[in-house]
Amino acid sequence: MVFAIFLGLSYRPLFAQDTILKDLVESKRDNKYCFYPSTLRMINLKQNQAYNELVSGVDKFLIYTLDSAARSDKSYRGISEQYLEAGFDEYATVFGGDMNMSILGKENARNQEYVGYFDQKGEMVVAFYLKGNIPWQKIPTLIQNMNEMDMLDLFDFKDFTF
Amino acid sequence: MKKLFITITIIMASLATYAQGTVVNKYFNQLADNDQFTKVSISSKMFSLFTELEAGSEAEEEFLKAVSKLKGLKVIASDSIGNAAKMYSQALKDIDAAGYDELMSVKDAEENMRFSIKESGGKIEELLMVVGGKKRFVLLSLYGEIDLKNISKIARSMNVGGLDNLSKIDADN
Repeated sequence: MVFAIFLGLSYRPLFAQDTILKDLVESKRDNKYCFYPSTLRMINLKQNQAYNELVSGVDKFLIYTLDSAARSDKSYRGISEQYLEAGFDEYATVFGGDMNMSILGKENARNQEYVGYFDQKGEMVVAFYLKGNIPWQKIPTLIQNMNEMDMLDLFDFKDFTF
Repeated sequence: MKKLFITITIIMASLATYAQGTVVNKYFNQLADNDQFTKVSISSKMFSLFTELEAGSEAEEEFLKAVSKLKGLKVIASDSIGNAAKMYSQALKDIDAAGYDELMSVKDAEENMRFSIKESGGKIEELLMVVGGKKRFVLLSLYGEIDLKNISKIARSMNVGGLDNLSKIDADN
């Protein structure tokens, strides 16, 4: 009985990680994009082989653009607080000034999870969740490829000045 | 005896880790809810992204190697506070009390600046920069294994306001 409870408690977080983000932003979004390996390959019109290999490890990639209410009350900041409580590590944060962002991750040998948000001058806030077998060092390549496909300019956060 | 030695080593290592960033962490905690200040925190994970880049020259290779040894960066900055001079003085006191060594100071009519370091085993493990102007205050901590020769290049590549002041170290060393 005790073993069953322990198993249940330890197993649940594996499935609950993206629900934290969904609970926080689902009701405050303008748009939602869900990508899986098949949809990520579908947008690869040039059939870049390296990109296809890269996305084959992705289980799920969720992107939300948040609405004006979320942008003004900055409730998206709760994303980093709640994921830190769930055992994620903080990779980078910027608070204040024209840009607010937070990137967190949780990695193990079999898969990795990355979550965070970007607020660029309050004009657009993007929240994301990525899970799969995709090394952290490959994330910029993935985003760069997606931008080159003119699919998304959501992650165009080149200006780090505050 | 061996067990005792290992235990002492582990304790010393954890103390060294704890000591790193003591001043900047204190200000991070103090100003956590103050929106007048921009707070930046970059972990070694972000620096590890540089390891995937291919160096085009020897200088680039040296730079990438230097970046990969960094463990983190924290910056607290504001351009619009009334008590910037007071905060600057207090920060200097905190830095001295925490046992940092002064590396360089710059004083001019607009603002004052001081670079301090914490060394261990002949290697710089933390570089602190504090800037105080009429309304401007910046406290920056760069930690890991720091190579002063590459500091200005690192500063330029990051394009974070305040970091550009690090180029002054290169000019004087």
